[in-house]
Amino acid sequence: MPLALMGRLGSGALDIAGGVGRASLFLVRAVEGAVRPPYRWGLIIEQLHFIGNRSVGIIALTSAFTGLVLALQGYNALSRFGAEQLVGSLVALSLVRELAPVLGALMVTARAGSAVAATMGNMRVTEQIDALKSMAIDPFGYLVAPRVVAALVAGPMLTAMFTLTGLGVAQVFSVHVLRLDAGAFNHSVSTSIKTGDVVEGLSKALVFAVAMIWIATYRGYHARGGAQGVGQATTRAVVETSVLVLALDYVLTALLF
Amino acid sequence: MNTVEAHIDLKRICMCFGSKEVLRDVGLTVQRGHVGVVIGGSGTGKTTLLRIMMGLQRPTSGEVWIDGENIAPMPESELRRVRGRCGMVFQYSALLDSLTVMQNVALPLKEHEPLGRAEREARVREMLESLGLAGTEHQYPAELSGGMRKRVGLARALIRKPSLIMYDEPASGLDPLTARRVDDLILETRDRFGVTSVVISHSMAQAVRIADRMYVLDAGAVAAEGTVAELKAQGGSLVQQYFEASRVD
Ligand SMILES: Nc1ncnc2c1ncn2[C@@H]1O[C@H](COP(=O)(O)OP(=O)(O)OP(=O)(O)O)[C@@H](O)[C@H]1O
Ligand SMILES: [Mg+2]
Repeated sequence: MPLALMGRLGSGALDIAGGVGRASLFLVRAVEGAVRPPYRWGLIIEQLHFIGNRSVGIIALTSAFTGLVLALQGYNALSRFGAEQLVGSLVALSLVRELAPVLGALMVTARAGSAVAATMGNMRVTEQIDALKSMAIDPFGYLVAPRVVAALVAGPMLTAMFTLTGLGVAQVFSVHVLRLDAGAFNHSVSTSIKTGDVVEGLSKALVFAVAMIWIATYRGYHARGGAQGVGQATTRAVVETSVLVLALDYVLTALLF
Repeated sequence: MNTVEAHIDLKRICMCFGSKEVLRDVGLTVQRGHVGVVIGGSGTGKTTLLRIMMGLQRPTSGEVWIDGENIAPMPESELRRVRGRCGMVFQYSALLDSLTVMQNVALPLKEHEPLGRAEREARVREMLESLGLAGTEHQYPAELSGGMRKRVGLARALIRKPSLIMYDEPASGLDPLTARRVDDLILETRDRFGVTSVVISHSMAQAVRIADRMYVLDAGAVAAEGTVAELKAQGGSLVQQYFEASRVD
């Protein structure tokens, strides 16, 4: 019995090692596809529109609610110590370093990561990827690379937008509903945020964007077996990305602390 | 056999999916400028064979010689070079569903040939017209019938005038007149441009019309091969059954 268990553990470990190896090779080929000509600007812009522009609405909505909650919770906690004037600082630091990159990445994964995995999975099972190969077109250059480039550009921009919208909504709410002084709010924001905080937030955004698009394209590219397989690939992409984003968030926070 | 003349030459191809053996020791040679037809029942491994010829699937063992190069062990980057001279028509068309008919057929030109947009579109229009698809340029594959999609797939494979074209059941899903036109097209590309074709077919009538050489596949192995006349004379029960089943008069 222990032998069988060890065998199972061993083969599980080999599976994971093999999976990581394959996924790494996939990323290398995607980067190759991105740096090697021809550069398909049209496709990159199309993907920028899809991953970036079309996520603006959901980012605006979720960041507004995040800003509102942060202002309320911050006010509740800080007013116990008579430190309401620090609400701006609490909202800004939470958003910049933590919530904007993480929640932004989760929202973009739900909206764009899932769609990327489903689209590519469908192209795989309907032989569209094979058709590209038969036309001597590299699917990594044609399909994967434009999506990777677009995600790398859109990720940090959406995160910045999340931060600014959340902060703006929190400011308006604090001033008009919580009756805090506008000048004090702005002052506490501007004195608490350092360049390092912004760098941390944007680095996280970039890393999360890589994780999101890597897993989405990898799962889609390797989908198999019809509609069910595409559904499975999409689910796995979303779940794996979400878990990885939270795990990476801890690692990055610990490293950059 | 003079192998210098062979455009495509498969040697001892075996293909297994897991424990399932789909192709067993298949050999097949199509001379340059000839039409080779592979005929056989459903599920005998015809599509698998064609995918192996295109390098879309690696055989478990065996060699795939195209233009004097064995593509079986080639890495993707080299396969792309070889595929640049080939065209493939998929059994279920495999059009890119995010692109219009015009964009689908223009894609190989756009990727590989330094043409202006006007010239490219003119060439696509001409090709579409010759396949009876004029007026569909701005439609998406989902808006077309199965037979129309098939012809768009045909147009896409032919647009760069490749020297070797592989067709997976080009006539299935087409009415008899259109199917006849596809046969004529295959013969015309052979006679006018010296194109080599490998055609997968279910239909003996089509095979008889276009084949320079025929291969009968049965349960993953070549059951009979030869010219149409040779096969007719030779007999063999499966071949005879095929001829009889497809007699229309
Ligand atoms: N990726 C795969 N994994 C497992 N089995 C496969 C795979 N592809 C094909 N097969 C099996 O190989 C056999 C041959 O399939 P193939 O598609 O080549 O048949 P075919 O001759 O083209 O049939 P049809 O005329 O119906 O198109 C089938 O039994 C099929 O189940
Ligand atoms: Mg088939």
